[in-house]
Amino acid sequence: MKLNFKYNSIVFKTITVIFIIVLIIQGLSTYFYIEKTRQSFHETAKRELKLLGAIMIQNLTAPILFNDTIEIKNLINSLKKNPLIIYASLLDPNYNTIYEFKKDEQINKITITLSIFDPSEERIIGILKIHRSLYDCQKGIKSILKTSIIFSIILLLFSLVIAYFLQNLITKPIINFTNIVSKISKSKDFSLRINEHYKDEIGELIKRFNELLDTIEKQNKEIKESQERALKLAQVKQQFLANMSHEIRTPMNAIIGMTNLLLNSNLTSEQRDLLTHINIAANNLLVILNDILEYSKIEARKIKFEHVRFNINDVLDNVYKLYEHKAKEKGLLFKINKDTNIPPFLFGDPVRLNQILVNIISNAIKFTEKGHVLVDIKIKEINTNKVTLMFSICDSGIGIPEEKKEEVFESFSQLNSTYSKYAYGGTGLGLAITKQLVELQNGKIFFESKVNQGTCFYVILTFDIAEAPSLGELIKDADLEISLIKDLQFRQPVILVAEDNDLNRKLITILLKKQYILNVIEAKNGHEVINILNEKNVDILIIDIQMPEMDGYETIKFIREKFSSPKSQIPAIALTAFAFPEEKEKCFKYGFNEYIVKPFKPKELFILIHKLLFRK
Amino acid sequence: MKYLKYIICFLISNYTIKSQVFTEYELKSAYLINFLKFIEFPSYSAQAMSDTFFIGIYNGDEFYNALLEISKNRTINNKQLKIVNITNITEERLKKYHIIFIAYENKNKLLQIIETFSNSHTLIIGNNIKNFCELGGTINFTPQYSTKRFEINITSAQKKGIIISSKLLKLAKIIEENEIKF
Repeated sequence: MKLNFKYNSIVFKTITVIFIIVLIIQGLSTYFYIEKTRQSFHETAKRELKLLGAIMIQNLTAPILFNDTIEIKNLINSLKKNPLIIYASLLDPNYNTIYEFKKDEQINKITITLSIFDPSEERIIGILKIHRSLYDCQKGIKSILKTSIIFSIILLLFSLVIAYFLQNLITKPIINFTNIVSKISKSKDFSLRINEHYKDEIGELIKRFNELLDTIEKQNKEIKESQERALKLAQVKQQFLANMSHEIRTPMNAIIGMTNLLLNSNLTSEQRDLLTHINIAANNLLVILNDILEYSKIEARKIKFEHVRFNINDVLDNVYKLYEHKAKEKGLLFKINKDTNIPPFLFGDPVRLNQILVNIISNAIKFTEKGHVLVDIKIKEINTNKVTLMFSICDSGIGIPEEKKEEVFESFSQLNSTYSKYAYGGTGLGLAITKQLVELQNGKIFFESKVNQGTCFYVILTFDIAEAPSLGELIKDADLEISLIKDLQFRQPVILVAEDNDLNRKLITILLKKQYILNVIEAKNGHEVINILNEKNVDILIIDIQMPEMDGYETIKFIREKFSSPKSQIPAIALTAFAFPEEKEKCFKYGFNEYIVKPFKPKELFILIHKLLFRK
Repeated sequence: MKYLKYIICFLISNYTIKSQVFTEYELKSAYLINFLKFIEFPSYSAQAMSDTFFIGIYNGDEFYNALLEISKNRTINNKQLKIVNITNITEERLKKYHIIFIAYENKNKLLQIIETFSNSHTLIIGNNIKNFCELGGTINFTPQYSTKRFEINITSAQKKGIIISSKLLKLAKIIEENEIKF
């Protein structure tokens, strides 16, 4: 049997080892004791036999010298009486037997051969041989062995008992230790300590383990703290971004709105030109702002994708229209080719698709000085309800140097002037956002590029195939804008605009009045809104969230809770600079019916007003 | 060489077999010498002081011859052996002899001889002479096939101051003084 100790418990090992040691010691001691006993027995027996022989010789001398065979016989036979003497013989000097007797032959015996010496003549007159059986010795050894075995068994049993207690000494602390360790690992409570006190190796192990626990606990604490700190930092960052977007969007709203209003008035061509520049710059700024907000949303994993029916041709048309002018300005060939087999109506997020394409195409146009920017859309895979499209955007621009390829999709990375004689603007977030947007929709994005030859970006996205909309739906979409303005003009609702920022308040009023919606009441904060509501009937409330004294949330909450119906039920639109989804949810929670983010397009506002007025 | 060993063995064994066949004379001669080994003469006696054992043979030429043969080059307790064929038993020098062996003699003559040596320290041994010990002889060989090889008159020995070893006595038929009959 091969003992493999690796798989046995310490209990088994300890007991086995002690058992084996005791067995070996007991075996050896028994062996040596028996051997010693046997030796001393043999020596005694030999000594006695020699003595016997000496006496025999003394007695035999005369009978031999006088050939007295009878006496010789008598003497030799006298040995027979000793049961242990199994053989005796007398030989003459020539080894001829004079007389002998033999009892049963035994292997275990001692023999002596003695010469009978004639002292007078110094010559040998005979030889005496005696064999003595060691039967008594064997018997004695057997009895010793028997006793020894019984003693050994008792000793082994005793050693087993001792081993059991001894192993308890060793394994008990280990078992205790194991129990506590498993308790710690189960409960994940690293504040637990092992309170067993031993001064041996186990004690040392426990001490070290406690030290380890100390370290883990300390580390956990530090990790938790740093986690909290990071979380707090992230929240601060989020808050900062939100605040910034608000702070920037509010004036931007005014700039873009006013510019738009101005562009619609009678202007000299020079004024118009200047205003157009302002408008473009403001819109660019808005794009950058949106990029930063978008990126922070993705970072915070707060981005959600819509699943709506859209026409891919509309998206592509929009994109084309967006860059057609710019490409023409730079003298670039800009074309969008589409596989005609692509189903026009798809389910997905058209806004994100637009964003993806715009980001890549704008880069392509930005980094291409001459030549072309070609967009190609092909079917990669199609079945009854899904289509996988591959968008390729190839330019003949400056290309991406080998060593920069890895950084292309990283945040805030941009080709610097080392690689190009031109400096290019932007946040450096475009492609990072694009990559995230593609990958969050389970798509793929990659590129091929050669310096000074151009770059090709490839985007692979899968969409569900949608049914084409009915004719009615198509007509409704097209006529929406005209019809809803007419509705509003006809209805002439009383609209209360609450906004602390004078410019923005003015802008909304002007926007409304321009469409001949004339019953607009202005308020600077929540208190004014409530005062006005106490006196007048209002059809629609447009309330800015961020207002001094009484903000938008408090105001709508007050209206919904304190006023009686129908005033408590007046439809309300929240006006906010925060573009985060949780902001939207918060508005609805406090009682707003709709939500619009600054800066907004006039059309968006009209749609909301119309929706609220005619929703029944 | 191998065969030499066997040849030697053969020769030796042949010799030993031959040497084991003894005549009565030879045997008894040997016994006479052996008696010397178990006998102690008084320390003041001429016998004790002599550096030679004198053995006298009376009326026994065969014994004499056998003894001469046996005693050749032999020493007993480092003493030489001198075998003498006695013709005149009355010689005074015989009283210094250790053993006088009488092969045969008639009763009257025997008594006379014993009487002569009664105050000497000489061991008188008879060869199977009837009533030898009873008559005052010290040792007498017994007839063939007797259980004992010889008989000893301890009183006689004591009178002569001769000490006979118990080992010898054990082998002998002891003749007590009171058994002596005339």
